[in-house]
Amino acid sequence: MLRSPFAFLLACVVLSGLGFASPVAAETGVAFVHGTGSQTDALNDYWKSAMVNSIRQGLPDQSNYVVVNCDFEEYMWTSGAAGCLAGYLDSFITSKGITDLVVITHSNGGNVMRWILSNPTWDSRYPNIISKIRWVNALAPSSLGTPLADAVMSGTIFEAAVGWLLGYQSDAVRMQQTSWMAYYNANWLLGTSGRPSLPKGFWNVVGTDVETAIWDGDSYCGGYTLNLGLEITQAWLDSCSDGFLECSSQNGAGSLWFFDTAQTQGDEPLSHNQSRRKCFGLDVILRNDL
Amino acid sequence: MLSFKNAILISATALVLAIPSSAADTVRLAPVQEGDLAASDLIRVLDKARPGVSREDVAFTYAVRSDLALDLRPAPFEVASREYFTDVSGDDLRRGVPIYVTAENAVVRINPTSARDKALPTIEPSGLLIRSAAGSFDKGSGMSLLVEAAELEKAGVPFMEGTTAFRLAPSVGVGEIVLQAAALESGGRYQIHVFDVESPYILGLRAGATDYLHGQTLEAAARLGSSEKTLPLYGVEAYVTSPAGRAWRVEIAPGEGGYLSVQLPLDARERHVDGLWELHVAARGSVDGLEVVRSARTAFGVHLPTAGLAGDVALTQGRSGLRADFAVQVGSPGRYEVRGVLFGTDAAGVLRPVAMGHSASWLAADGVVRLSFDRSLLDEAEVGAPFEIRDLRLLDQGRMGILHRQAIGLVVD
Repeated sequence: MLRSPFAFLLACVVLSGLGFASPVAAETGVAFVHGTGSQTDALNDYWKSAMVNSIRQGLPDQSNYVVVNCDFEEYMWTSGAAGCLAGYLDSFITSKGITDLVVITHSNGGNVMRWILSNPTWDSRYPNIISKIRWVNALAPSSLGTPLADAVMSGTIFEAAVGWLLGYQSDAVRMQQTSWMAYYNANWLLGTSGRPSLPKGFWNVVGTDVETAIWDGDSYCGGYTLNLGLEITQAWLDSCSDGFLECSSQNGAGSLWFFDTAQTQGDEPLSHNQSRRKCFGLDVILRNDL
Repeated sequence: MLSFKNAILISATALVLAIPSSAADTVRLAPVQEGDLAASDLIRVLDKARPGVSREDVAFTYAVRSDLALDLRPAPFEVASREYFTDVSGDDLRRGVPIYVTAENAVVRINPTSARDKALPTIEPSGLLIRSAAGSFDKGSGMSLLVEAAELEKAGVPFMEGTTAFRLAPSVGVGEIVLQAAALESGGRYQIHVFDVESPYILGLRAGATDYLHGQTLEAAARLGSSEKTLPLYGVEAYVTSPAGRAWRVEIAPGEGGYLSVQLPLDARERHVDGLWELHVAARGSVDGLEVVRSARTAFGVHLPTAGLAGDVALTQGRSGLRADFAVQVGSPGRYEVRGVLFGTDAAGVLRPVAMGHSASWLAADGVVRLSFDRSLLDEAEVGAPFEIRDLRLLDQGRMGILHRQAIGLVVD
């Protein structure tokens, strides 16, 4: 389905009708925004080039893409997280003359992107970035956090002298605890139920299940092989989850684009790892959306 | 066919016209109501705002969907815990440590407690002896699933290094269950996490509000029980932690409806550290001869009153739209943002959402932050006066402070 070129053409017609000069050809670009972690080569380490190269085939100019490498171990608002992301997007928009930007996020990358959309006055670069965004395709965003982050942080030792000392020392994991994300959604982030909507569309792709079996080739597509650890972590999650995030969290902000099995080849579910990989036609769905 | 995804895109893209405006009237904010947050008794803090905080004036306004159902009173998050954790020594584990479960298939995790103890031996499930009223179980026989540290690491969930886990087999039964690592040679400390996943008994915990100002009193409620009964509690402990690393023991008192009441005057005077305050509660109860042990924690914000809305608003309505200059009293220099949702009245006389407005400025002293809603937004939404600005907020961006939150902030006839 050729959704985006049609949409952008219509938008140009509307602007033209409002008295703007005749629309010039859109310079469409795509940005890939990784999830939790500090990345230095997200193209190869996080997304894999097969995924990125397949998706960018949907661009009129296939060189109009950027793969972000930021420190998403930090809180979403920091200079290393949202500041770094804004730097990538601002430079990309400026250097390539992008006027129509599709942002593809995965997992916690959706929160960092939503920070920018929700706090446009935080940084003078944000309004221009937001104005160039057509929409965000949020792959398995952790919008409401995850009980697994609660479990990771459970019993974390707190020592007054040094603050949070022990346990997992990632602010991003701490932030993705369910009560923390509820707080940030109620105060600093937009787009969840009962809150003002975001300035641009935030479209969720929701992973609904994890298939793990040593005889099931599907589980090898960037996914999980038979893994006892994964089996026990499912105790913390609803029956509808991608192995790391409950479906309710993945669809907790913005709008549903689709549940995995509704559009993937063979109606295959997308585990949390698979929703960032070239699996079951996800790359083609994203390519056709450009 | 125009998809829903495309329709929203066009709606947001089209609203960009600007026309000059006319003279201002001074009006007052609507009265603060119960549930609103309003900073007063402003203070000057020596702690500087976060490095790199912008000094530029930045404003951004956009149309929102007219069917937006805005929740003007954000409800605090309600935690429902079926878990607890306990901190034990290696010696304790060597002798045997009791855990308590009320239902089959509980999941247990064990990990060294600190980075300093990374060299501590891992407690592999197969090395544990389990003793319960149903008998003794060794070499994993009392477990329906055993996960060694290397396997758990493969799951991609960032548990502490050296974490292992297992699920108790139904044959072990419920009640007090002793875990013993007889061969353990370690003087270090370990944490045991018990997730009573199928238990009907939950420790519910909820703060009274999402946010508090310095000097206000934290109020929270906790309840242990099932959907059908509340359990009498004993051994309740509660403490509050701040982002900068302070901690307070909290007194617990009986409350209404079987809830326990928690109260603590909040002192937010500390160096700024990003993050939230947390209330931690651990409690025990008993039912039908079973010990029920739970712990829970929830997050909330506590803010220094570094600035506040003075109450005066210079309002301009005209051909250019609606412009509101909010007077801001500043206790501490900083970058302050005003945001709110403009509601307008449609042809049927119904107030409905029109636009979201954000505006931020660096204020070294008392000043003004301006929200502007362009005429094109009003025309597009086909609304006019009366207007209201709802969910009006004043934020301290440099210190992540929520200084003012008012369900109905401004009414413009």
